[in-house]
Amino acid sequence: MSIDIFIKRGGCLDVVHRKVNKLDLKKLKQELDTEFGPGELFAEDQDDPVTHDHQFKPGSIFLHHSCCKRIDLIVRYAGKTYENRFGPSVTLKKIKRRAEKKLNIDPADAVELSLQIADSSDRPDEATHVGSLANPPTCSVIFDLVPSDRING
Amino acid sequence: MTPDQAIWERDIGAASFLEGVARNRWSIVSLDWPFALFGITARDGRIFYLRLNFAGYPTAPPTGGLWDPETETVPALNQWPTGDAVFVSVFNRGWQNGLALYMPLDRVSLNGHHDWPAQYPHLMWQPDRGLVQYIGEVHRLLNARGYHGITG
Repeated sequence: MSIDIFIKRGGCLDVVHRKVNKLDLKKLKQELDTEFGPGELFAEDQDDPVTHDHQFKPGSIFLHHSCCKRIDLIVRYAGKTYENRFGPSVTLKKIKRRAEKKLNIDPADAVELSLQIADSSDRPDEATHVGSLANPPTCSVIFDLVPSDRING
Repeated sequence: MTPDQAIWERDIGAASFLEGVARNRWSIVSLDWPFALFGITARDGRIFYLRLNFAGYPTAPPTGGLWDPETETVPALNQWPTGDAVFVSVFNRGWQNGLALYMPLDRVSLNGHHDWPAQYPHLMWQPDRGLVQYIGEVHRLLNARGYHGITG
């Protein structure tokens, strides 16, 4: 039975899809290093790189390849800021939840919030890896937490 | 095959769409060009069917709305999703008789709303991003706190 692998990478929103019969993380990393430059391979929502014998749950596998080992993150909301460092494979869904908690935003009271990249109007999908938004030279990203829009007009 | 369908076929096999399938966010149910029917998973596990017209894809944004594949019509009121003010502004069954979602990504809904590009720049159609933009936004809304299930 084949395995679907979805690979995201540092500073790029493209997704690479591979279908393999047997997972070989060492070989996969070598191929990605050759294609995109040297980097580490991270399992989704994990802070540390995977080892070659990493065991995944059955099903599709979501990975991140990046030369950034940590992403410096700032989330701004209503005059407050939340700062932390995450592995590049951490999803915006996880970051948003963490930021809402640390910024004392009560999910029951708050309208749905989205992470918007600072100084832009881009609101990336929650499955986006934070490393995909951080350019490798800086390995950092700043977001604003903004309310979802009620469509009017 | 027309050029718009050829590009659509390419995009339905692209990693960005397949990733959503792998995450159980959405699936493709059927195609009767230019109409495609998708299943979108809501946060309570319910599947909503979304029927989109892709004529002119990807230059032209798609248009469409929720669909009941059994009756081949817009879902009955008791099967229509409800939610907070943000949610119901988009899932507005009164708009176009439920045949278009009220958001800037929808071709029919955008028509005549000249202020929307400035007001909602993050919801403007980008041909190079393609169909995952539209179904991704529908999935986001159905998985937001503002989604409260169905009325029935």
